[in-house]
Formats: sequence, structure tokens, C-alpha cells
Amino acid sequence: MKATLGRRLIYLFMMLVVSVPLITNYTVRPAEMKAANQFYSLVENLSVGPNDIAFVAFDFGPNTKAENEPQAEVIVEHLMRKRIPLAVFTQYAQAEGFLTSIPERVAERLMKEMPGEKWEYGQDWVNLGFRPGGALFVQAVAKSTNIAKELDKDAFGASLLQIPAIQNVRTLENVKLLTQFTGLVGVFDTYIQFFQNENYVPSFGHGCTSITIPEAYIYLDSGQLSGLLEGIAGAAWYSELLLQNNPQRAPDAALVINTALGVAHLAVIALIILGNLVAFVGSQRRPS
Amino acid sequence: MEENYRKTLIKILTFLGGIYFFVEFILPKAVLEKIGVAEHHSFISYGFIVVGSMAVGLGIINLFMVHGSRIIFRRKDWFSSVVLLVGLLVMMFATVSDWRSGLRITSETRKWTLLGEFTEVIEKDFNEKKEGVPSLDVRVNALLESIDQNAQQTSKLLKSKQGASRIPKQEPKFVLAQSYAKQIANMQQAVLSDSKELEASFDTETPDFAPFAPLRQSLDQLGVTVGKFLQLHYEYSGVRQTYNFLFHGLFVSLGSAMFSLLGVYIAAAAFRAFRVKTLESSLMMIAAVIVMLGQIPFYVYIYDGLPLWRQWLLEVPNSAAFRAIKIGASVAGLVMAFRMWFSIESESFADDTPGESA
Amino acid sequence: MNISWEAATVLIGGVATLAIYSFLIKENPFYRFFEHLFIGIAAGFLPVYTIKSFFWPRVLEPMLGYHIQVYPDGTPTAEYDTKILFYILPMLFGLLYYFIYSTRFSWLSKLVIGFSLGYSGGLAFKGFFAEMVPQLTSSFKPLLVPGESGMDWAMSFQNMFFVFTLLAVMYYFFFTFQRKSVAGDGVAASGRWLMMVCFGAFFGSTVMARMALLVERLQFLLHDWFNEISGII
Repeated sequence: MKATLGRRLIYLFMMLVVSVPLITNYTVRPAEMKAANQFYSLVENLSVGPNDIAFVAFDFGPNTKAENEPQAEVIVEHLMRKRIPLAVFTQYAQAEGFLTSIPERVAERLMKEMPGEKWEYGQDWVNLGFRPGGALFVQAVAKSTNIAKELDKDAFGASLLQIPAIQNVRTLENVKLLTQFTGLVGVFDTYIQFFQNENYVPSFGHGCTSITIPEAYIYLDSGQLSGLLEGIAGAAWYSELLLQNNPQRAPDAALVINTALGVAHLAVIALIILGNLVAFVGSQRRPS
Repeated sequence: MEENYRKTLIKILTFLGGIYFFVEFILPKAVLEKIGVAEHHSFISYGFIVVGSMAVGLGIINLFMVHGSRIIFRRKDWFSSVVLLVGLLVMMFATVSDWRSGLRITSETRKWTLLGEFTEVIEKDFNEKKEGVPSLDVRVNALLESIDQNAQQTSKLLKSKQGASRIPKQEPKFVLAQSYAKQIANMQQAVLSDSKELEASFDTETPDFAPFAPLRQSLDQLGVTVGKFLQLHYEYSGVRQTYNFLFHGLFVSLGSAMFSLLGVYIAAAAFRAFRVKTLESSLMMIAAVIVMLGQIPFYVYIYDGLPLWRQWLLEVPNSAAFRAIKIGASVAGLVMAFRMWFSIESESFADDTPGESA
Repeated sequence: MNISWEAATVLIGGVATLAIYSFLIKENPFYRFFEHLFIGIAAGFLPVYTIKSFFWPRVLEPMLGYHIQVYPDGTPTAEYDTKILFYILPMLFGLLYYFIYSTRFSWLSKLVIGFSLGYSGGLAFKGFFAEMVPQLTSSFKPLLVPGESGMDWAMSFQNMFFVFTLLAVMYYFFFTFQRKSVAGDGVAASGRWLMMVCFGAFFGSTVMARMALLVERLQFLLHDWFNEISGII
């Protein structure tokens, strides 16, 4: 009974502590992330021809949405700002709803920010929908000699040969960038292993959940990844970079969330210290 | 005897399943091209996906078997089973409706792009003197008639969509939808006048196909613009909003909340379970604290160099140690794959006896 | 009171979140209701998406010839490609999965399960080399790194430390022979310690991931949901 009450008190404490910065909208500048800087430069310096495209895979569901969604938003925003056509798709059925909502939300925000300019479906982005098959699908695309024909239709059943953003994409060489957001290591592996052909490997930027940060670093070290967003902290720093380079940009929720996350970390560290102190004092009092 | 035959059959099929991708991997590209595998690789790959995708009904059947029987026999928690099956059916219905809406947009777009394609086909067939197709005047007349019909249908559609528009007026998309509607009206006018001109001037005896190319372009553009217009309205349609309600309102919220419970559990575990008693646990805790503090915004109040420490820790000891683990795990994975392919690992799987469930 | 769909979506999201959080107090019917609803919804869209995104456009539509349209003069847009009929074979083969429900013929489902295991095994060879070769090559770091003026000792030390950690951790996992030397034991022990540092990084990251989920939900409740509620009130 006492233990249950104690546990519930910790739950309550955690929720209250995290709520304070959220209610007060308290923000602190995020910590600089080297890997996110790399990702930013990658997108910023991407040279894209008229038939080229960036592939953006949203391989996440509600379970990792908290981290992957802000990452996906900042990257889609950056690509849209740079007017780089992008194709969004997923290998994970639970992400289907995000394929529509994220690009639309970003396009709407950009149109509000820059009245008179427009970002439209078909011209700036295309939704390829859920693509089952895992490694088989990724490999089939990578080896294709006519990717637009290979992928056939968008999520609404329209022929890709009629969609300006993708209609001229022929081989993997036209895919200048692959970005992928996931908490699923297995799905990430399919791109590392199969999204390449004999002569060409597209630049690969990855947005991972915090749990997989340590693993993602080995791919960054080997050059298999050209950029990395590390959880919310990575998204928040990327958002900060976008803000620095586009001062008219309205700040997004990533900064507040990142600040609250910082508070949560401090609280967890405090709980660990406190727990150890209580245990130490308890062991001293106990007769040997 | 019969058991052996089954066992062998399972092993053979397991082996055959892997042989294609193995051979495709080891043979050079030139050889694959020569024997025609490269050309059909995508078709074959999708064939493998077809096999897997046939299993899609298994989950639904299982759910209906488990929860259906619970409802029928009024077992404990039968009402929860009703909720589960209702949720399943409603989501399936909403997803199918959403799919149908998407197809409707596509078919409206296709109405125009089909005509664009037709102009090209008429010209090509005539130049190639293709046999078995209607005469040129029949084809051109059919094209012009269809343009008229499409224009009438699209005008009606435009009016009905604008009349029942749900796009909030303060949204930039409202302005965009209006500009699309204007563009469509103008494009239609232009296409209709082009088609009238064509009707008057086109001579089937000595045909001049020069106006066909710009007409095709206009028809394609018109189709694409109609698609964009409908797409905007679709985002605010009842079907889409119902889908959003179920997906974002219920599914995403429930899924996120379910997993976020781990946040408070880990806080409780931090207090109750993480004890620093040995050298190993101390090392682990020091690394954890550096990683945690190095990525939060408050590091500036603690020590400026924390992000650099964190970065070094992740780039050097973490990457090296994790790579060692990864190399070991991958080699083991490869051996496992080999054993699976040759049914060494799954010996008991292949070893079937009648009556035994899979 | 007129509630828009957007508002209703946010409101139900908040109610659903609170229902799940009520589990922190005690398991209750409110929680159970939403828990089962979640499972139902999650199971509902996968089959439809598989058919919508793959099975219909890639297999059924071309097989039934529905992708062939008719031009205004009655001629078809394309000819029927009989190659697609080859897919009947994998379809029939895939149907063997459903024998899993038969007591007598369940062995037939093992044919197709075995086939799937086989092809994932076959694919693994290519996957292994594509993934691991860059990993192995990037592990061979230069132990002495020349700098602008003489040696870059910091970088050299870092590379040495990297290579030592890699080898020490790998050595720790060699259980096939008995370690007899003190040096060997020392290397294995340091491998274990360095692995602990790696696990520490994992642990720190895990805390961050879990907390991010909690913060996102609270942000939703305190901002989006609260704003909708107060708007209605």
C-alpha cells in the first residue's frame, strides 16, 4: 500500500515538474547538435536538377511520434523552403495518416509566412503512401530504371507519370537525398542495406528516436549516414537553425517541448541521486 | 513415410525461397542482364511480396475468432471485445471510404488527361497508318465531343464543390482553392475555343496536327489543376475529417498516451531501482548522466563543455563498443540466415506430424 | 453548440489520453474501453492499406484489366498484359497460410512460412555485406594522424582509443577459448567496462525517449486540448 502510494507520488511529481515549463511557455536555447548541423548543411547544399527529387520516409507510428514528427516537420520544411521536390512514403502502415498531415501543415505554415507564394501537392511534394514489402520494395526501387513507372501511383491512385514532382525521376541517381524517420531499427536497416546500386548511394539523413542514438552513431562514423537528428533535441536544434536563417519564421513547439524535456531529465537525475541516498542511509541504519 | 515427404517438401520450398536472392546477389550485373533476370527483377520481387501480402487476413480472422467467441458466449469482458470489433470495423470502413474519395479525385483528373493522351494517340496512329482503329474524322469528332461533355461535368463539379466548401475562409488554402477554380474556368474556356477552332479548320484529308500538341498540354494542365482543386476540398471533406478523427483523434492519441506511460514508470524506476554499487554500474551511470545533461538546454548552467563530452562519448567509446557488438550480432545473423535457408535452424519447424498445429 | 471536426478530433484526443492515464491510478473500465478501441482501430487499417497500396494497384487491377480505359472512340488505352497472370501462382501459394486453422492440413501453411523464411535468409547475404563492409572499413582508423605541424596527438589518441575499445569489447565476447593470461583478462575486463559506458549512453538516451513521449502528451493536453475546452466553455 505504502509502496503503491509512493509510486503514485513519483508519477504526480513527474507530471507536475514537466507541466511547469509547458504552462509558462518557458524556453531555453537548445543545446547545439553536431549531427544536426551536418544534416542542415546536407540539405542546404544539396544540388538538385530539374528531374531530381528527395525521398522522405515517415516510418513511425504514434509510439514514437513525439520524437519523429517534429524531426519530419523540420526536414520537410527545409526541403520545401529550398523548393526541392519531395516524395513522402512509409513502410509502416501506422504512419499513413502522417503522410498527408505533415506536408500539408508545413505547406500551410509556409504560405502563411510568405503570402503570395504557394506550395502545392503534385508540384512540391507527392504522397506515395504505404509501401509494403520491406527490403524487397526498397531493393526494387533502387534497381529500377524508371522509378516513376516502378512506383506507379500515388496514395490517391493517380499515375505518377502525371505528377510534376516525380514524373521525370528515372533512376536512383535522380534521388539526391533520402531522409528517414523511425524508431524501428529493422526498417532503417533496409535502407542502409538495399537503397543503393552498383554505382551510386544517395546521401542519407536519418531522424532517430533517442533510444537508437547510440546505434545511429556507428553509421554516422562509417559515412553510411550523412546527417542525424537525435530525438527531440536534434529537432529542436534544427528548428533553431531554421529560425536563425529565416528570422521571419514563427517558432514551433519543438523549443518548448525540448525545454520541458530538459526539466524532466533533471528531475530523473535528481530521483536517481535521491534514491541512492535513501538506499545508502537505509543500509547504514540496518544492523549488519 | 508421409511425414518424411512433407518434411522434405517444406525444406525444398524453404531453400527455393532463398535461392533467387542469393544467386541474384552473387552473379555479376552483366550476367543478370544477359539471362534476362535484371529486366524482370522488379516483377519477381513483387511476386514475393504477393506471397507475403496474402497473409493480411490472418490477423483479422484471429481477432474475430478470439473476440467473436467471447461475445457469443458472453465470457468475461465480452463488452470490451464488442468495442474492439466495432473499432476495427469502423476504421476499416473509414479507410475504405477515404480510399474511394482519393480514387474519385483521380478519375476526375483522368477524364482530362485521358483526352490529352488521346490527341497524341490519334496523331501517332495516323502517322503510323495503324489499322483496325476508327477513321480520323470519327476520332477527332469523338475527341471534340468528349471535351464538351467534360467541360460541362467539370463546371457542375466546380459549382457544387464551391457551394459546399468547408475550407475556412481565413486559411491560405481558401485563397488557393479560389485561384484554382478561376484557373480551371479560364483553362476550360481556352480548351473549348481551341476545340471549336479545330472543329472548323481540321481537314481529315490533309490533316495538320500542329494544334494537337498545345491542345494536349492544355488538357493535361486542366486535369492536373482539377486534381489540385479537388485535393484541397478533399482535405476538408467529411470523409477525410472522419478519418482524421479516428486516426489522429483516437489512434494517435491512444498510442502516444499508452507509450508515454513509460515516462512516468522510468521516473519511478529511477528512484527505486537504479543503484550505484559497483564499478560497472558507476561507469554506466556517469555515462548516462553525461549523455542526459549534454543534450538538454540547461547544460549552460552546469558546465559549458557538457555537449562536447557527450559528443565524444557517443562518437568514440560508444561507437566503438557498439560496433563491436554489431559486428558480432551481424555475423551471428548471417550464420542464422544460412541455417534458416538450409532448414538447419528450423529442423523442428520442418519436422511436422499430422494433427500438430503450426 | 457547433463543434467542428477539428475541435472534436482534439477533444476526443484529450479524453483518450486521460483514459489511458487513469491506469496510473488503477486499472478501470474507462481505461479498458479505450484500450480495446485502440487495438481495434490499429488492426483495422493494415489490411485495407495493404490492399489499397499494393494488392489492388499492383496485382488485382491489372489482372482484372481495370487499369485499361477506353478512349472516346472506343479504343482501349492499353493492351492486356498476360504476364500479370503469373501472379496467380504466388497468390494461390500465399493462400496456404490459411491452412494454419486446419488441424489436419496445417503442415501446408508451413510450406509458405518456410518459403518466407527462405527468402529472408537469401536476402540476408546481400544485406550483410552492404551494411557491414563500410562498418569494417571505417574501423581501420589510422593510429597516428599527421597534423599541420607534426602529429595530431589528440586525434591519434582518439583513434587508438576507438580501436582498443572495439577490440577489447570483441575480445570480451570470445568464449570459445579459455583466457589464461593476466593481460587477456585485463583486456576483457576493460572491454566490459567500456561496454558499460556504451550501455550508459543507451540508458541516458532511453530516459530521453520515454520522457519525450510524456512531454508531448502533456503539451497536447495543456495547450491544444485545454484551448479547445476553454474555447467551448
